[in-house]
Formats: sequence, structure tokens, C-alpha cells
Amino acid sequence: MISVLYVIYRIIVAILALVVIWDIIREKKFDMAICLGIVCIPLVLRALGIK
Amino acid sequence: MKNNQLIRNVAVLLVAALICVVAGSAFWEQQQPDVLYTGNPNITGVLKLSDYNANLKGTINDVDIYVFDSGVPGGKAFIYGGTHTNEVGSMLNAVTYLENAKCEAGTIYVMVHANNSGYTHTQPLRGQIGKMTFDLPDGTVREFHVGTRLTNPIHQWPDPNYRFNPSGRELKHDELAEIRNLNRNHPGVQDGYLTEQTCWAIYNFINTEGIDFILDGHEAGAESTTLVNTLVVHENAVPLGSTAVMNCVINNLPMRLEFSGQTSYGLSHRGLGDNTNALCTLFESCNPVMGGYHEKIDEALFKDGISGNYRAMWEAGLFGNNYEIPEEGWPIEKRTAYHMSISKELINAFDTLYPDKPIKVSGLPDANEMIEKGLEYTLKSLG
Repeated sequence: MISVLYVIYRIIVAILALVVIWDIIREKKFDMAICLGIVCIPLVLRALGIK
Repeated sequence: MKNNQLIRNVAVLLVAALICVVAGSAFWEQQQPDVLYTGNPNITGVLKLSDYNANLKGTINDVDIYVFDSGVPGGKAFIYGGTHTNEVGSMLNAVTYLENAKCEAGTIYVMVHANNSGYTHTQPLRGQIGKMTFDLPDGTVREFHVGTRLTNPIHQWPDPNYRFNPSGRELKHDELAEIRNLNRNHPGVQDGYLTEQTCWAIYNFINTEGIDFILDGHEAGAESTTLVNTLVVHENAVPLGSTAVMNCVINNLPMRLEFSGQTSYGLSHRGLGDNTNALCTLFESCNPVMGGYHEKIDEALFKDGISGNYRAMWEAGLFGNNYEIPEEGWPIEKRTAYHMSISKELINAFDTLYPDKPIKVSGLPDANEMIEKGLEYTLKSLG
């Protein structure tokens, strides 16, 4: 049960990371793009199970 | 979308990717296992924790237990380190046994990385190094990871909102992270959280193999005046522990005995002492890193144990006369030697107190020589 929850968590995080990356591509303001870049780093590392 | 805007955003993505690679490689390196020297010809077998809890199969905490079986029936000792992975003296004591011990009677079991997951990360925002290195005389280097006292969240997540497990410890509010603390969940739960499963595997190992006594190695900050250089024993282990401590004191090692608290729920001496027939003991050496008043946690602080803050506090009389904080600090070789000495004296004491269950160990380095020459001279080269 606990490991299933962790898998679901990683799927959610991976989807979030993809959404953020897509938003970076579409973002019109540079400062917002940088903010999104900072946000996507822990999301990617979490989705990959590295940190 | 304008072209220059797209190029700008792709540049942001590339920088983020670069940071992911740089940061990720550091985290990834921390997750690689230590290489241990297992060439000791006196090792007679290797067990896995998953032999005692199949749920651990394939997990990071399916660690090795090295068996030193003398072939002479007798007592069985279980000596382990790495419960809290930044309390390095205990781990290096287990390494010393692994590399040097020879069992002359009875059987000795050695586990180096009790909570292996803890070695794969450090505590966020603590600014602590992730490994320590020793330059051996032959020019080779031995590396040992240093982690934190809790299981890595990438191996056990999420923490529960409330937990009341067989340890008797009620976890709620700001204590919830303790569900990832190996020394708060004994005797564990067979199919619970990873840390609970690990505890249960240890509990089942002790029962299955008929372990007579255990030593769980730890380190404490100098302000923990009731713990430093102290052997904590379950009430069943008082004769064993007091004999071992007395012999240490006779040999000029300033050690003390402390009874396991009745409400020390989930700690090895209480959780395993109450639920197994083993005589359960836990030893704490002095490590400035573990306290709240340490300086920058670099490799020098871990290895040399020299802390101006703790020295000043000791000089101000804040620690009483229980122990000294010398100018030369509490170096790792001294802390490891203390762990080695108390574990050896426990073996000697058990052999004396229970003559029908003889247990003898030889081959360990001389403690004084270890302190004098450093671990560089006692650690084996990996070639």
C-alpha cells in the first residue's frame, strides 16, 4: 500500500514537471520563466527518484 | 510566439537541466554503496536481512550480516553499527570486526550498515559532508559514506499522520519523521514501513538465530551528559553490562553504565530487550557533530572531533566531571577504539558469566595502537 502511494506520488510529480516544462516554453515573461525553471529542478529530481 | 522569446525560454530550460545534472550527480553519488573489505578469511557466511523478513527483498535495507562461526558451540553475539548513519564510530567498529575478527568460540554476527537507506542522503539544510576518506599507507584511499539518522524519503515516503506501532511509541505532530528512525521502531512491523520492516527483520534474526546478546553502536553530542561514553543496558543485561564497563574502567577507559528507560519505546535496548531473549546493550561515544553546538560539519570535524565550542563549554563546567573534552578532541580512531573495547569486553564478560556458552574473539587491533596510529593503519586496503 505504502509503495503504491509512492508510485502514485512519482507519477503526479512527473506530470507536474512536464506541465512546468511546457509552461517554461510558453511563458512570455523572462522572470516568470526563470521562476518556473527553479520550480522544475526539484520536481525532475523527485520524479527520477534521485532526491 | 516570437523566436527570441522561444530561444530565451529554451535557454532557461537548458540552465535548469544543467543544474539538474550537477545537483543530481551529487545526490546520485551519495546513493552508491560503500565498498567494504570482505577478504577476512574468518568470515564463514553472509546472511541477508531479507532472510528474516522477505518484504525487504530488493530494497536498499536488505543488508548483509557477516557470520564468524568458530565451529565451537557457544554464545552468539550480534554487533552492529550504522543505525544512525552519521554516528560513524559505530559503523567503523563494525568494519574493524569485519576486517580483522576471528571467532575462537561461539559465533559473532556483524552488520555494518543497519539502516543502509540512511547513508544515501544527508539532512537538508544541515550543510554536512556526505563521505569521509582515509589515505592508507599503500597509497590507496578508503571511502565511507556519512548519512543522517533517518531513512531516506525516496525509500520510505510518505510519513504517516499518526502511528502507534508495537514499539509502544506514539508518533504524532513533530515526531512523525521518527517513523524513519531505526532506533525508534523496535521490534518493528513485518509488513509496515521500510524502517519498521528492517526493525522486524533484526527482531526475527535475533529470535531465529538465538542471539545471546547485542551491541547497537551510537554516538552522542557532548551535551548528552547521561549518554557519552555510556553503555545503556536493558535490565536483563545489567550483570553483563556492568562487568564489561567495570573491566573497561580498570583499563582506564572512562565508561559508565545506564539503565534502559522503561519508556524508551522503540529503542533497541528497550524494544528488543523486552521482546527477545537477547541481552540488549547500546553504546554511545562522543561525537561533536551530533550535538547542537557543533561548528561547520566538514570532514575534519567528523574525523578529528575537535570542537572549540564544546571545549569552551566543558571548560566552563557545563558538563560536570563525567568526561573530558580535551584540546585534541574526540578523534574518530579514539571513538572507534572505545566501541571496539566495549564490544570486546562484552564478549569477554559473557564468556565469563555464562561458561556453558563460551565466546571468544581474537585478531582485533590493539586499541592504543589504533588511537596512536589512526584508522589509516588498521583499515585494510581494497587493492
